[in-house]
Amino acid sequence: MSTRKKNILKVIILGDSGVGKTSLMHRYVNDKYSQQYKATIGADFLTKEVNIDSDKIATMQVWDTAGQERFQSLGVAFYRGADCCVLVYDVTNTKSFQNIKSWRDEFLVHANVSSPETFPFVLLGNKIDADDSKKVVSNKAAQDLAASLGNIPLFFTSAKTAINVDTAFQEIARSALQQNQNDADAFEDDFNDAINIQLDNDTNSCSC
Amino acid sequence: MSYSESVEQAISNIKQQTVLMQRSLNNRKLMDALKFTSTMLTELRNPRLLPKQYYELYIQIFDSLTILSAYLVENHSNGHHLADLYELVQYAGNVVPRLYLMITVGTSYLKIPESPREEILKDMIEMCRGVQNPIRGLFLRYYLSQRTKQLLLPEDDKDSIEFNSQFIITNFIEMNKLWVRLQHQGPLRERDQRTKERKELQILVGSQLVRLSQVVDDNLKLYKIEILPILLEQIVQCRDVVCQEYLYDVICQVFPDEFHLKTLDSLLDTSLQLSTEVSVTKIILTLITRLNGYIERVQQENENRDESNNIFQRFWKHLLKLNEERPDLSIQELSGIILGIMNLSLTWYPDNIENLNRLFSLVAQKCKDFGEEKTSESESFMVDLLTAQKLEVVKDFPIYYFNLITQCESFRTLLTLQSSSSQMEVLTKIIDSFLGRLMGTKQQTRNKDGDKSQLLITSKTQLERFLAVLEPMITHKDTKKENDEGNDTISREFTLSIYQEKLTKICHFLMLSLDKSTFKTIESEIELLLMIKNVFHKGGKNIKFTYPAIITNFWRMIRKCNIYKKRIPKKQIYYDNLIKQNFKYISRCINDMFNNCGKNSVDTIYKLNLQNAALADQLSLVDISYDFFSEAFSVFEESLSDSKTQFQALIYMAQTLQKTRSLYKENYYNSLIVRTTLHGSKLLKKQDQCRAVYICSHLWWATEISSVGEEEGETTDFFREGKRVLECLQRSLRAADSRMDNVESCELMVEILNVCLYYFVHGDEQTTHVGVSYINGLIELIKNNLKSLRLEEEQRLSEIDTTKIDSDNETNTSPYNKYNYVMGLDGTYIKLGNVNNSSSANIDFKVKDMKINDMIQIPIKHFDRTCEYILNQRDIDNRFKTVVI
Repeated sequence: MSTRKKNILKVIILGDSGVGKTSLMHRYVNDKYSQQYKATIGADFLTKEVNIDSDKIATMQVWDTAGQERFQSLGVAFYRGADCCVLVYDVTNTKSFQNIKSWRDEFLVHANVSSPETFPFVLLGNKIDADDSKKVVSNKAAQDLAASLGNIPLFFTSAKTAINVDTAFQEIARSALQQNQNDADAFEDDFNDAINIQLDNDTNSCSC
Repeated sequence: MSYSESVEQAISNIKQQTVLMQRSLNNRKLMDALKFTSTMLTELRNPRLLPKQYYELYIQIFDSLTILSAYLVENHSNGHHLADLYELVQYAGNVVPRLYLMITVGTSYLKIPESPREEILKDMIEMCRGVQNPIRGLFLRYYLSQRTKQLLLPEDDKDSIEFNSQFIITNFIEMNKLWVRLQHQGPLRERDQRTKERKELQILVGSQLVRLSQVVDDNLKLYKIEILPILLEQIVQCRDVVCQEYLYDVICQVFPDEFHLKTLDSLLDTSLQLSTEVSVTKIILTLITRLNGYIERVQQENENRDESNNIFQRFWKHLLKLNEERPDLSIQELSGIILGIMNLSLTWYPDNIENLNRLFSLVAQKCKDFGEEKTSESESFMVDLLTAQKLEVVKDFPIYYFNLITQCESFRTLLTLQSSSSQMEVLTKIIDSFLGRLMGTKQQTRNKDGDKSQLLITSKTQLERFLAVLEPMITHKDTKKENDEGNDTISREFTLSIYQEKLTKICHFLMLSLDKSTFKTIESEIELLLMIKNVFHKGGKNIKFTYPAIITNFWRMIRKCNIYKKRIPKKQIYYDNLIKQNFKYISRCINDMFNNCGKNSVDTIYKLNLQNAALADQLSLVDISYDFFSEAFSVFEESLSDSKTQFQALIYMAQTLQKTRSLYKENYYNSLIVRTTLHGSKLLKKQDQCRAVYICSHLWWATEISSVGEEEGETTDFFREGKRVLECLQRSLRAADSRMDNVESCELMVEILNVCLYYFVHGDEQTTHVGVSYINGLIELIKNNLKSLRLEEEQRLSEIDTTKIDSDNETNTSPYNKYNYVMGLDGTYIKLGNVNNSSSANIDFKVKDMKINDMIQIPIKHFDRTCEYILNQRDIDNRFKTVVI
């Protein structure tokens, strides 16, 4: 059983530049949308109090990241400690869809998660409001990809018209909470011994 | 308290302290928790950490402090009043841990509704001045900014928005100072290392501008008056290259493109005040990319675009100023900027060619100033500029080059200033784009609005300009081989010049691009064609390649006239004259080719004459046709000396003549075919004579041309003279018989037998004079000859059998090659691949690996095939039963 009363859930949003990561976060956290394109520099987060399955309360820290590598000069240390990773592509941009896999791999390489096989990912196909003529990534292709990544949840969203954004983030929050509790339990088990040793050391150093 | 030795230790220490802190919190022992927190924060005092390592620890600590902060907020009304705690943590021993704790407590306090927000914020930012070490200071202030993100004053009135932006700006200015200062710390030899570190740390500073952009939102007035001037002032004043390049870029990236439109003047003016080491090109291009992005977005959303500012004008002025104030800029840098401005102009004002004209004329002036100091690099920049190939916008904008060529004077000026190879490169790209367009026109017109993607020449001036631009290519000389005499004449004759090939294609392209509503009459089209011809004439020897395209177009004109002539009987005379006029133009073209290119073009000239003769014949212009045939004969007699060429030329002549129909009057036809046959019988080699003459036999045996309504069996007035046919065959047989090589002699006879069978099938004995007895006689002769050949073969086979034992490897080899050989009509050997797989064929005059037995097989097998044919024919034609095999 977790000892913390209120969980802090860390969620990382990844995807190519311009797929709408910042917009999704703003739509979810502030319920706002702007047509303006502004590049994201580095990584930045917004927090939101969430109700999961109507009985659990948590603080969700949504980390928006720069899609352009040149804006990530300090590296991606902020991946660490994530409870869920959201992979976003743009349904009107094939390249962004093709890159999803490499974003996931990059996340797993740097996030240092305890068990990569079970770590929760959520796949979002954004800009679903676009004209059908502009959509180049088929739903089928997206479903296949989601299945191949370990049957991860898939949502077709629009930050612009708020389609599915809340639904998607509820799922994200649920996955993150699950992961967070699994980790917390493992953490407790793992560190009990280590801490005792450390305490011994402490007393030693004090007596010196 | 001290920090760990290694990063790994530090990480594990932070982990442990975090667990301890959490436990203390669970047991509600806040003071212990703060002590553990303070211990972990000590790790951030390590001066040896590299930026990325520091960031890693920072992230870990940030997560732990988040837990602490959550506890503090929850227990504020539970005995741990945050105001007291804020005072309490000030007593922490070291400045870095103390300030992190203070910010953690302070920002937790901000979450409490009744807290004195403004005071806390002011206090925290003031206290941060306590850390002046660049890396530590930058991260501390980054922490302040991250923690306060959603906790600044509620943005519901003007004052609080101003307070918030002021708060962030202050933090930004301090961070920028720390960041710049890092460059000047430590020994000089570590300068590069420090630059690298600074570039890693840059996002901490940049993130402040992101924060500002969030606070400003869409408040242009606030941005323009309160924020941008301060930011730009900071950038200019710090006089630091890394900072100036980075922050200018970030401003362009993080603030809305609409703002840039409204503040273009200050952005551009500032770029002039930056350090000379800053890449102006990069900065301007970033800005242009953003402004072009605006247009794209506006078009996508079908919004009205902001037209209040002529932004090309603005950039143009800037360019002139730059050119004046920065004489140190290389032509490369300048052309990079100009290419960017071109991109801008094409995106914003796609139809405005004058803009481009100004840009090109500026570059041309620059090129003249720089004079001869051209490097290969600057050349390639010029090519980029002239072709604009790197601009995405040109790809969706088909008539770009067309407009450039026809409307942009200084494009040509600049082009002519380049080296020959660059000019060719540019022209090739441009021509290719037209030709590519030509191939894809149908698709394009379907997709887009047709009239815009169609390139139409609507005036003579346009064509003149077009041709003027092409002139360097027209007069281009292949520098590799220039001597006219010499041994390489033949090889040169077959070398095709890629540039001249492009020109012929562009000639057709131009003629197909004439605007029908402007050039209504054929005469006007002819006038333009003559214009092209006259410009091509400047190419000297090149006309050998280009004139055929002109002539082909004259043919098109002639055909067109002929159609109109039939359609409008009233104007028959007019069109007749026009047709004759066209043939005269063609004659002139051919003469020009002969005079300019001499020997190299005689083969082409010969063929062109025959093609003209054929066309004139089809239009029943008897005299013109006869003249062209005569011309062809004189070329043959005077200039075609190679025996192979002569043979081919005669075959071509015979083919052409056999299809003529109008020359029977005046005995023209007869004299022409007699002349052809005579030439055939006088060819140098016996086998050529033999073949030429039996082919000429067909000249006395016209066959149906279904397109003019003739039909075998129906048409009664075919030109046929069986007696002459037989004479030819006899003449041919004599030549075959006199050939000393008996293999070839046999082969030729089999070929004649085949021709005989053709006549036998196609007419009765009386008319063709080729009867059963003649054929039987010929078969007898061939059989006898083959018998002696076989004898010879057996002799050889026995020799091979005795030698075969020596070579083990070749035990399986038959005396024959695995290939099948046949002989072509011109005496070439054709290798048919191996017997099982006869799909591939190889043609050569001499086959090196051919064995003598393979040669013998050629007439034998050919004869076998012929016999098989005769046998098969017996089923459908009783006459064949009398043929004795």
